[in-house]
Amino acid sequence: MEAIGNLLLGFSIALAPVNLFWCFVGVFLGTIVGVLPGLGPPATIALLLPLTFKMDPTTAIIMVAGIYYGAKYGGSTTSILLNVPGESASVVTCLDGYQLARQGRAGPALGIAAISSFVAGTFGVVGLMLVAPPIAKFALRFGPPEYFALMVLGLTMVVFLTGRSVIRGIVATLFGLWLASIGTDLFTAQSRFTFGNMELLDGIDFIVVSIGLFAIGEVLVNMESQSGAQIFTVPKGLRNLLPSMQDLKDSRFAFLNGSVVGFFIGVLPGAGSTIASFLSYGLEKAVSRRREKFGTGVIEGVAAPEGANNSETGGALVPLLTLGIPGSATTAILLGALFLWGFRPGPLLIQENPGLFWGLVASMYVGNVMLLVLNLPLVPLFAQILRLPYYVLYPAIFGISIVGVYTVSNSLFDVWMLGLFGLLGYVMRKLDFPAAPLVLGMVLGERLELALRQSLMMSQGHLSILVGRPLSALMLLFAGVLLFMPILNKVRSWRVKAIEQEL
Amino acid sequence: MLWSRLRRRRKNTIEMSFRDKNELVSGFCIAAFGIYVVVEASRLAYFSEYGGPGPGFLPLWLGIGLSFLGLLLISVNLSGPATGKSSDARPWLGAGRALGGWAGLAGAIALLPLLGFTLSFGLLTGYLLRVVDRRSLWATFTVALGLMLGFHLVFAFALGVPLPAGPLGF
Repeated sequence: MEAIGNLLLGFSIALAPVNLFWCFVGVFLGTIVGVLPGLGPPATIALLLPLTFKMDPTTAIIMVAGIYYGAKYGGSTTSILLNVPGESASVVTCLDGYQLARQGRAGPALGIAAISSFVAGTFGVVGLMLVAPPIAKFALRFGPPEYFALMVLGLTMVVFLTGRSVIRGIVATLFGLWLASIGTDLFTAQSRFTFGNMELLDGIDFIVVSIGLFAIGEVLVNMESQSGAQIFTVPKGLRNLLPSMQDLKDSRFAFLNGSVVGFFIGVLPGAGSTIASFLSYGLEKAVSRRREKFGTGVIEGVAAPEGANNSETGGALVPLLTLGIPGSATTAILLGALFLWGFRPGPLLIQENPGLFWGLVASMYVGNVMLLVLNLPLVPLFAQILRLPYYVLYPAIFGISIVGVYTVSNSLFDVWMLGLFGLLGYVMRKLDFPAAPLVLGMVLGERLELALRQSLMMSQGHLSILVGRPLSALMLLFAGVLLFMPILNKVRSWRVKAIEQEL
Repeated sequence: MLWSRLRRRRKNTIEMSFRDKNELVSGFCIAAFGIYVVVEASRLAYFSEYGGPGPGFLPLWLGIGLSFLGLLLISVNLSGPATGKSSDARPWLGAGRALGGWAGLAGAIALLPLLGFTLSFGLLTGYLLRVVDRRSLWATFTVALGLMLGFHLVFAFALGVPLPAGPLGF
């Protein structure tokens, strides 16, 4: 009852014309930022922050949060249409989204991404509203061993990303983990695998690797054949450009999976939306009846990661607002902004500033509706991009990739790395090595090593700490089950074949 | 009839030998790279002075893992019959065009500090259309100019994205 009263207070604030206007500006800017690769929400929020100093703080946070979750809506667009991940969490969307586009189903893929984002984004807000304080306290029980177990659980997703050869998938994952180790060691400040290059001291940016492997690699493979003028077919008629009832039916579990996984991963500081999207994709594939079709263009392969990516926003705001702990670069900037506006995020924030908290929660409901209304009509428009002939599309993808990578840190070295990883992506495709496990290894590598070393420092080198705590033991057990499930299935199928041969 | 059957068999043999060669070469490359990682990681401290693993701990095990998997790929390839069932890695037909496209990209990146983004990108587009794709001069010129203008208007002008500038200021 109290929550409803508070929510009504929130809506009275969020529906004020000035807040509605700035909420729209935020989600609109966020969508644009999400569509453009490289220009992520942290950079945009940092750039726009000085403009908010003269605003009312509640209005300011409504706008800034709008950029944050709006960017996640837009992030899927280039992943589906061009195989260019707009942000790290959209990498998984490339796997099935781009294949759907190749089959002439870019419209339904974009539509389902928007709908899933709406459903899961709303779930995230409900979660933020109802369970923020207890969940945040639970998240505090996550120490280094639990984070290590979570990263191991994330790495087991490689089983679902390998395609036909598990050996090749594991090679790609190990290579990704090695890439993550390049740069300065956080504990000893020693440089590792930098080849004496100053630019590598900060490591390699994740977006450089993913755009190179996915976008440039794909263009190079497609360049081999001089086929017709148009690569993709785009069906005519609005009905064919939006998801069908069957698509929605196929995505039912993905909506729920993405919502729940995204929210809980979001609550854990430092876990992030990329892990959320990988985990929800893996879970979706694990329980699917048509798991062998994942990676060839199934609609739920888009719905699950996109949902998780958006639900994570609500989750990530939980530790930020209730404990003052930022879990990502964007929430770290939001934390700084809250301090600048004169707030102290922590357990008392909701009690001391109900207008701010409930205004933000209500504005996120409104913002999610705005985003759905804004994005669904844009689907047919975006899908028209694929009508461009390939000789226009390929240079454009090269251009977007260069701009996207250069804007990350204004570094020409990064652009060279893009070219290098583009070539690697091409060679990997030719040799049938999957790119997604490499990206997974790179995402999890740094945090996995950090958590492992912190855990072993805590236990003075005893590995028992990793299995001695209930939460980490449970997650490691689950990871073990996931890892050995395909092997057991294979053994079972061999036995069936052997029995059939004997008969 | 006989001719087409012979051609099909020859094509299958070529694809199989490509598959075998690809696996073998990639196995050797991965094993060699793994050994390099092991050698480099062994120069770093395995244990940290603060207790627990040092900076060489994880890379060392990654290197060992990569070497092992590389050797596994080689052994699987050498021991198993070349049935062509385990992989369908595409033969390298058409790689020339792809590598030509990549060379253009590399050239454009090299030109970025000298000519700036807009001109380098225009040249890259021109190269891809005219040299790699053999399009007409008119098509090359219009597409290159259109994309140059479009990118400049959207990224540099409308969004204010800082891009490498050339002698003409863009």
